[in-house]
Amino acid sequence: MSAPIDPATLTHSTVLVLDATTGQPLDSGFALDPDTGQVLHVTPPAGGWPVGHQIAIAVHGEVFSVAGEPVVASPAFFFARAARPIATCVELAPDCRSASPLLPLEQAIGLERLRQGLAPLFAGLEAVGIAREQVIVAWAFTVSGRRPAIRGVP
Amino acid sequence: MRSYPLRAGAALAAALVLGPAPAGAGGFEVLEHGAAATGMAGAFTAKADDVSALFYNPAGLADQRGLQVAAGTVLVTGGASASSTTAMALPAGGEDAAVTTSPLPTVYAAYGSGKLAVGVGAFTQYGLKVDWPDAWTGRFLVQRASLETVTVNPTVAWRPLPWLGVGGGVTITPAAVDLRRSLDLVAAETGTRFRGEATGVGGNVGVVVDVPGAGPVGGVRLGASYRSRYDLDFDDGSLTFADLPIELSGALHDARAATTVKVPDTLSVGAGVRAGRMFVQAQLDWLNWSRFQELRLTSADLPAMDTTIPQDWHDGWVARLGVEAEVGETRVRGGIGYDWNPVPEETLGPIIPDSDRFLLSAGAGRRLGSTLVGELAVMAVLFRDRTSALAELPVEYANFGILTAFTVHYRSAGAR
Repeated sequence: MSAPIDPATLTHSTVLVLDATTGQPLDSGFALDPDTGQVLHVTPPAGGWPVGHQIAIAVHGEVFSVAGEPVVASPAFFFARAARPIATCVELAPDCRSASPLLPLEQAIGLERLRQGLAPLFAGLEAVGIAREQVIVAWAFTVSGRRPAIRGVP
Repeated sequence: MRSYPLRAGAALAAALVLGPAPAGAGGFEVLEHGAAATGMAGAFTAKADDVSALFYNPAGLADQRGLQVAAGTVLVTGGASASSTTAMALPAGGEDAAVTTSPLPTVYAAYGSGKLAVGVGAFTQYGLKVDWPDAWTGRFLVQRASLETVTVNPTVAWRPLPWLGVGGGVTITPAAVDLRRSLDLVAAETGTRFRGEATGVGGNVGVVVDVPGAGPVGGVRLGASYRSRYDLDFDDGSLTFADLPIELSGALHDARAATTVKVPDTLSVGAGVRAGRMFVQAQLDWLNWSRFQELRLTSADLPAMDTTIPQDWHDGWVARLGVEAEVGETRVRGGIGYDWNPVPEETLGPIIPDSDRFLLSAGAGRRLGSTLVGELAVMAVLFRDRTSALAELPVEYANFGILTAFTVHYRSAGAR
């Protein structure tokens, strides 16, 4: 997202917080950073994040900037959300090829690694009815149940 | 690295020269520019006895006396189809390019004194058209393309000795290209179109030698004709996109783009024998396609589209044999030929699915009054099926071509 976002377009129909471990949406809150208009703050659901679970967050659908322009995926995320492989390998090899003439091989390999890393996330989103081409940006994290090894370290 | 369209512009540039070229010369050259010559399978370099000598051998004009004008067209009908191989499966029944018919007009005019002649000709020496389905398997290499050229060829010919004629001229060739293909964006596809204009400048020279005959041989005529190489620099072309995903609108946008197409030198050498009312000529053509080693497309506005792809063509050769017989008031012609194409299997694609081919032709000419002569000819171009080793599309190609030529000659009273 490179432009300030219209906060009115960030709703529960365009922002999904998903417990990817159970496949169930979470009732989390979220708000746009008022200073930048570009940073999304997501708050845990009541009772906190489920420990040991992977949480996926996706912004999807019709989101607009304050100027009324559609907010769309970055070029890198556009490729990374593809269902097809972007390269025929994930390590440079003599017979490795980029799937798109637009992408030099090394760039394609990097994007393919990202695509494979995001594959479980998109599988979870598709399971709740969100098509991958509708996703503007998505990320995931896993909630750890362990305390920090060094006290005082957040 | 020999992989084909590693970058987006590569296939665009390559498509400049694309197509099944259903003519009697490999690559994208057309060597049929008169009905009389076409009826003899193009074996006309030594004969060159009408105003179409402006193309076939300018030295042939040196014999001319008075005014000659000729106009006509060659209808080039061709098509190509791709079918599955063990390396790649295509839809059942294969995929076909649309059959296209392109009229290639020819106009010649010359005036001579019997020893010195001047003239000018206009013809299409390079021209192609291909129309594959929008959604076909090879759409990332090419969908549609056309290359249109018109060569204007002012010429002077001289006969310094009774047995020797020489001639030469300059060629000015405006060209326009329009080609489309799809660009694979993995998660989507976008249409691309390259259009450009260029002008190439070259020259041509020729010589004929007449050897008196003896016995049943009425005479021997030797001829050689050379056309120079030149480059078509499409250096102010436009590259446009259709249905571009909005996510990539910052990375891809309409831009200026440039490429160069190198056209070959050609040399034709022929020998003809006149016996009674018959003339028989053998001919060998050399086409310097080996200068066509790569295609490079550059865009200062959009460097992501810069690309170079190998072509690695080798020289092309064509052997021809033609005969003309006078039967009453009619001249009847026939010819055969064989064309060794210049495209290696490794770079063979739907851009130029070229292959070796047999040429079979027949034609006739007849007076249409005291000053007009009508000529008609048909040439069948019988391509050999060919399997590509191109990594992106290793399929088998089958092409066909039919050329139909019409020419009407006007000769002023007393002209020969």
